[in-house]
Amino acid sequence: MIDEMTSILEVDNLVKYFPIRKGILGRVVGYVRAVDGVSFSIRENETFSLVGESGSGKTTIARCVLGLLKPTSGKIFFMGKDVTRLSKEEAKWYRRNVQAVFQNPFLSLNPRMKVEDIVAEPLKVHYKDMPKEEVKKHVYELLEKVGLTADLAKRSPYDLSGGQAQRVAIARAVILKPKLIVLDEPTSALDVSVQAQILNLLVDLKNELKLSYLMISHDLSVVRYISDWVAVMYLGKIVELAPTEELFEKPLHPYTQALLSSVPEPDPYLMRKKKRIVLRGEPPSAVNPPPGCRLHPRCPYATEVCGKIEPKLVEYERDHWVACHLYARK
Amino acid sequence: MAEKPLVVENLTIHYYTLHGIVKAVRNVSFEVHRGESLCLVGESGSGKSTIGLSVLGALPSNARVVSGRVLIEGTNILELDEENLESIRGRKVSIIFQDPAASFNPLFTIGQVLSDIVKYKLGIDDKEEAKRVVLKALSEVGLPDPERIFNSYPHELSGGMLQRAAIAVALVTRPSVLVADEPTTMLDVTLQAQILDLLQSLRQKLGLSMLFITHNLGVAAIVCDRVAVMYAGSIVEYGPTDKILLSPKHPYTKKLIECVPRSSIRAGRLKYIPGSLPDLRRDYPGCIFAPRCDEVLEECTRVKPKLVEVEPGHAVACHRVLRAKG
Repeated sequence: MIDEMTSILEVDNLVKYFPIRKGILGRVVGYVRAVDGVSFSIRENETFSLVGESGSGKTTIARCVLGLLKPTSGKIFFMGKDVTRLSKEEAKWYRRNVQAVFQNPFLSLNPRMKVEDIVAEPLKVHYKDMPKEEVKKHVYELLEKVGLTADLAKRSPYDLSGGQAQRVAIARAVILKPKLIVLDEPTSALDVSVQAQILNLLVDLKNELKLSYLMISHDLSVVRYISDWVAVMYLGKIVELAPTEELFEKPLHPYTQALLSSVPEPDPYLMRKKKRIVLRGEPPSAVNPPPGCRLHPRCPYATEVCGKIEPKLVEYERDHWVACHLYARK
Repeated sequence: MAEKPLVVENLTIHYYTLHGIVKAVRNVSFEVHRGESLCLVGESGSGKSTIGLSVLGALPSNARVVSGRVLIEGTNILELDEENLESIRGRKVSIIFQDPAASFNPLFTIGQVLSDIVKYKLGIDDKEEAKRVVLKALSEVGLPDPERIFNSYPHELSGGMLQRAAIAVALVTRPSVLVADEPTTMLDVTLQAQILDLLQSLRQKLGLSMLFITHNLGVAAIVCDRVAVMYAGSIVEYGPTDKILLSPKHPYTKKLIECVPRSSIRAGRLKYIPGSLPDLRRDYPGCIFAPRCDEVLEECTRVKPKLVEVEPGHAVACHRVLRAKG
C-alpha cells in the first residue's frame, strides 16, 4: 500500500492466533485472534507507528517482526527477503539489521553486566574479530552520542535512572548500525521531562543514522510527535492508516475519532471545547470477536450492515486508508 | 471546619531506608474544600503518593511524620490509635489506587468484600439489607448487571470494571474525602475517559472532596478545580487549574507543561528539563529546583523561597517571580 520501491519492511496479511488449551490432554478449545490479517509497509528512514489499546495486537505484531513469535500465516519481508524462512546465515544478517528497544530498560538490561559491556555485546557477537580497543572506541563514542557521560560506563544498570537506562538500551540497539528498530512503548515508563529527552534522541538518531522505526504505542501524543505514518489497530485489525498529519487532522474511523477525543491534554480551554466521543462498554475479547465490523457493538454510528459484513480497508483518499462502512458506501 | 473536610498543615515526612533518611515530603500545606477536587501533580519522587497515604493514616512502617497535621473533618488522623483510626479510615476518607487488581483479595467475590465493609463500617447486620446497599453501590458506579458483579471474583472483571468496583468500595460508606492515586494510569484512554467522567459525576452528586494524584497534566485539566504542582517533596506552585496550565509562573511548572507532547498540534522539537531530581536525603538551603533552573538569581541557592500569593488563590515559591511582583 505504500510505494514498494523504497519499502524496507513489508508485512503481508499477517495472522497470529494463540491456541487456548484445556484439560490434561491440552485439547485446543479455541483461539485468541491477536492479529487477524494485517498488512503494512515501512519505508526507508521513516517512522511507522501502530497505535491501539491493550489487546489490539500491536505488540504481537512487533514480536512477529522481531522473530520472537512465529506467525500463524502471512509473510514478513525485510529488504525483499521473507523473514519467516531465513537460513542460519540470513537470520544473523536479519538480527544485525533489526533491533529492539522495549518499555522497561531495567528488565531488558542484564543487571550483572556493566553498561560498557552491555553496549559492546552486539559487537562481540556479530564482529568476533574486532580488536578490543576498537570495540571500546565504538562503545564510548556511542555512549557520548546518546548523551551518557563516560563515568557511567563502569556502572551497572541498577545505578542508573530510568532515562539513563533507556539511553543504554538505545545505544545497544544502534551500535550495529541497523536499518530498522522496533520501539515497543519506549517512553511509557518514563516521566514526561525524561520522555521528551528520549523522544528527541530517537529523532536525532533516526536522521543521523538513516534509521527506520516501527513504533508501538498507546500514547497518541507521542505518536504524533515521532511518526511519519500511523496505523490505528482495534482487536487485531488495522482500522485506519494514514500519514500522521492527515490522521490527526482528519480522522475518519469512529474508533480513531473516539481515541483522539479521549486524549487528555493540559489545556483546559481545549478540553472544554473538545467534542468527546465516548465509546460504550469495553473492548470485547479477541477469542470471540464480534461478527462484521469488530467495533459495531460499541460504535455510535453503527447500522445494520456493520453487524453482518466486515468492512475492508480501502483507500478512501490518497494514502488515507480506512475500514468502515460509513466510507465504503460513498 | 465543615467547609474544609481535608486540611494538611506543614506536613514533613521522612523515610528511613538502608541508604539513609529520605526526606520525601518537605513542609507541605494545602486544604480541600467541600465538593472540590485538588490535584497534586508531579513526577516520580515528588512525594505526591506519600501525601496520599498520609491522608489515610496508612504510611508504610519505615515512614516517620516529622511534623505537621492532617485534619479530616477537623480530626488529626496522624495522632489516632488503631481503634479510632478505623472509625475515620474508610468512613470519612477513602482511597482508590492505580491498580485495582492489587486492591482486591483474589479469593473473595466483589459482593463479599463490599458486604464486609457494609457490615463493619456501616454496622448493617441484616444480610438482605446489606446486599441491597451493595447492589445500589455497584449500580451507582455504572456497572451493568450488579447481581452478576456481586458474585464475580476480581479476575473475572476487566480493568475498567474492576476500577469501577474499587470506586464502589471506596464510596459505599459515603466518605467526605476521596483520595484518588493515579486511578486511570493503567487504563486505556477510552476507559480513562469513562472513569474520569464517573468520578466527576459522583463528586458532584455526593459533594465529595477529592485529592487527585496524577503525573498527567491532561488528566488534571479534566478533573480538577485547583492544581498544586510538586517538585522534590515541596509544593512549588498552586492555584486554579486554568491559571496553572495556561499561565504558569514557576519555572518548573512552565517547563513541565512544555515537555508534554500534544496530540492536537504538531510540535517542533520537544523541550525538556536538563539534569535530574536532586538527592532527597540532603537538605538544600535555597530553592530545591535551582540546580536545574535557567532563571536562577543569586539568592536562589541561599534562601528557600516561600509560597506567596501573586494573585488571589494563586501562589508561587520562586524568588524571581516575587521580585518581579515587587
